[in-house]
Amino acid sequence: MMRPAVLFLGLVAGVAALLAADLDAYTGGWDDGAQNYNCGTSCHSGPTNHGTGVLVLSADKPSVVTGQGLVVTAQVTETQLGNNALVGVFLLRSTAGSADGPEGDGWEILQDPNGRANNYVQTPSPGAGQAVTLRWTLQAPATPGDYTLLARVHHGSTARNPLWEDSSSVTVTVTAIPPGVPIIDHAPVSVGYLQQDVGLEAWVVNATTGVFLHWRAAGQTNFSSVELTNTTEGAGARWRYEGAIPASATEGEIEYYLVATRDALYTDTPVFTVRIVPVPVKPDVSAWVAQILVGVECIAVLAVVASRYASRPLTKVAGKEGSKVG
Amino acid sequence: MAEVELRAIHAVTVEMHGGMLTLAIACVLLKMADLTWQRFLPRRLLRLHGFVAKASGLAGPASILAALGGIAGLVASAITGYLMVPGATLTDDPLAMNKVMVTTFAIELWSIYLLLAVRHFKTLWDPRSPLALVASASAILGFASSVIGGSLGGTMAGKGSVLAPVWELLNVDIHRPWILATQTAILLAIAVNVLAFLFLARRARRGQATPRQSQSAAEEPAP
Repeated sequence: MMRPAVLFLGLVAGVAALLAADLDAYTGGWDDGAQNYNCGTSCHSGPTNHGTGVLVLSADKPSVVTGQGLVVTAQVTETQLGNNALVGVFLLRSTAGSADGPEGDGWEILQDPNGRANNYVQTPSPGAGQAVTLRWTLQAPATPGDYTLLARVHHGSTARNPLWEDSSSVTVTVTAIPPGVPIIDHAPVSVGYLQQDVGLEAWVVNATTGVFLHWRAAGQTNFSSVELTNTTEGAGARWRYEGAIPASATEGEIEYYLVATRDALYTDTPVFTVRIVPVPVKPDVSAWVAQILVGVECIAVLAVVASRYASRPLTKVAGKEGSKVG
Repeated sequence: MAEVELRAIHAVTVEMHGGMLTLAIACVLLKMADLTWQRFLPRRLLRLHGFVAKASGLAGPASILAALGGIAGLVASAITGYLMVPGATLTDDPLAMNKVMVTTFAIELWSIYLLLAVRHFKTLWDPRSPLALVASASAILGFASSVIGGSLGGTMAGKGSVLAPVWELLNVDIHRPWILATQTAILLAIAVNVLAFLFLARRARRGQATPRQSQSAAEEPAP
């Protein structure tokens, strides 16, 4: 009598552990994205309560020329955090609640803090009271003028209460590019692989005396430099330059920037970050499909066998008749 | 008309199968508790068993409805999940491939439970029927598969999972494909199918032998 009871209790404990496990995939809004001030359509409503966190937004230059890079840094310090300890940070141009991402003013997000190009990113907090720093690299609008940028944070609390904070707004002046100054059009690379060169490409105008790549491992002091190669085919004002950051043997981050020169005039890009990761393993899709088919077939066969085996009633019953319903 | 994001629909279907399958497994456990009570503790705590028996009476049909809703939710979430992540990207990510695989098994296992529960509606939970064990095992394995799928989905969505320490403890890397070599999978399938065939053939021979013996015994003259 003892053994079945122990078996059953073990089974209940096992299933209880599974019940306690995380079932939901939280697909209703987690992930970076393009979002407005009020969280757009991914939330039923934004948080209505003001938190006590501190959010400071700053730009690395008060003024840029049209098309020039700008790094905007948001420093977030939260004292209230939910169990997920995750904060969502929006980079915005206004608090209108609609079409208020910086793209609306002509800014182009070249690189967000997670290596993509979204105005809304999520990041784990290092803990209550500890600051987390997020950097966006933007390309200035083509139209001169004064532009406003601000940041907003959404986060939870131990009371399961959604909270928010806004930063003060930062004004950046965009001026027309002086004639003859080189212009760089570069799509930053955010991910590189171990033991592989990180190839880069840039389209430049007016860079008659060369385009240079400067890079360093994150945390190091000095940059290494190499001149990019002009690989332009055919005539035209825009020239194509190519080069590579040499292969890295260790995982980590590499910082780089480009400089295009024309005698004493030059233009540089902001510093971009490349995350060096192991080369992803390409799964064998045909083996995966075969395994699913084999698994499905084996489960079906085992179910047929087990149900055939179990179709014979037990000969000895210790208890009374079973419940009548179901 | 307001536009509804696909991820919101996916969230609804995920919550639907999460809730439904939890209800279904709770009902199955209640039925198993009732059966265990009847088989092994027939004369103890009879008054308390009355409450269990009442709840157990409702648990059978409830488990069927919940399993039906859970399977519908699983299928719907698989479709919306597939639409959210294009096929080419899906097969680039081992985590997504693992999720598709365990979700497929979960759908099948819960379907087997549903089939058995509907087909043997009146006799499934009879204490004399070992079929209850087969159905319960299918439900429990299906639930375990859906929990693993949920954990992989949570990780894919960037939220993480409370099962993460378990994966770490068991040294399971969920970011690597859980794929056997095709040859190994085929050998496994052959082994399972041959064993199943041998079992069914043996059972069929026994089934034929029993009536013949009975018949020859009947033909013998009475002493």
